[in-house]
Amino acid sequence: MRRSLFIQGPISVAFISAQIRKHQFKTNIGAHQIFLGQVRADQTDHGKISGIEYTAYESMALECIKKIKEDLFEKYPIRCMHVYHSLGMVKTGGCSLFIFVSAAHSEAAYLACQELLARVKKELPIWGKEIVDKVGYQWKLNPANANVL
Amino acid sequence: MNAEAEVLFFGNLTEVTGESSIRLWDVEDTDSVEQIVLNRYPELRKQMYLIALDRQLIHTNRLLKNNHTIAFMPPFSGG
Repeated sequence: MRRSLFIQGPISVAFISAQIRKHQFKTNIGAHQIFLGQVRADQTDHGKISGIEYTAYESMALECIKKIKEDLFEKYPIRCMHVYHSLGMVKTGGCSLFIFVSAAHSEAAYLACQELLARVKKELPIWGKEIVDKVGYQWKLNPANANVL
Repeated sequence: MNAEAEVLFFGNLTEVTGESSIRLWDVEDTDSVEQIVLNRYPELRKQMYLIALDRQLIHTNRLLKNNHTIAFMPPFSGG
C-alpha cells in the first residue's frame, strides 16, 4: 500500500490511469470504485472562481488518513485503498482529489469509497483558498464543517 | 517544570496572526496557550478554529509536559 497522500498541483489523468493499470495485476479484485474531485468554476459574490490553492497540516493529515484507512479495512472486505489530494494551485477543471478503493465485490468498494470521501472532507486538516478571477480570493467552506464549534 | 510549545496557524488564521508559527516557553496547559495566543492576536476571537495537540484534535484543557506542538486550525475544507 502506498503511503503518500499529497501531490503538488492537479492530479493528472496519466497518473490516474497508471494507478488503474497497476491494479490489473491484482486478480483477486473484481470491483474498483473511483472518486475524482474536480475544481468547479463557481460564481460567487466577488466573481467567478478560477482555481483553488490548497494547504495542509501535512504531518497531522498523514496520521489521520492512516487511522481512517485502518478503520475502513476493519469495517469492509476491501483489498486496497488509495487517496491522493492536491497541494498548491489547482485551476478549475483540474482534479484535486483521487480516491481509489478496490474489493472482490462492488458493494464493499462502493460503501468504503463513500465513507472514505466523507471522512477525508471532514477529518483531514486541509484548506482550500478559492481564487476569484482578477479580484482576489475567499476561503473555501465545506458545508458539513460550518458549525464545528 | 513548565513546558515549551510550538504554536502553528493554518488557513485563513495565518492572515490574522501574520505568521505561521510562534514558540512559547513556560506554558502549563493548552488553555493557557490559547489565552496567550488570543491576547497576542485579539482578532482571532472572531474566527472559528479547532485546536490540535501533537496532531490530535482536543476539545478540553490538557496539561503540557515537555515539548509540544499546538495547532490552531480553521474548519477543514479539503476535497
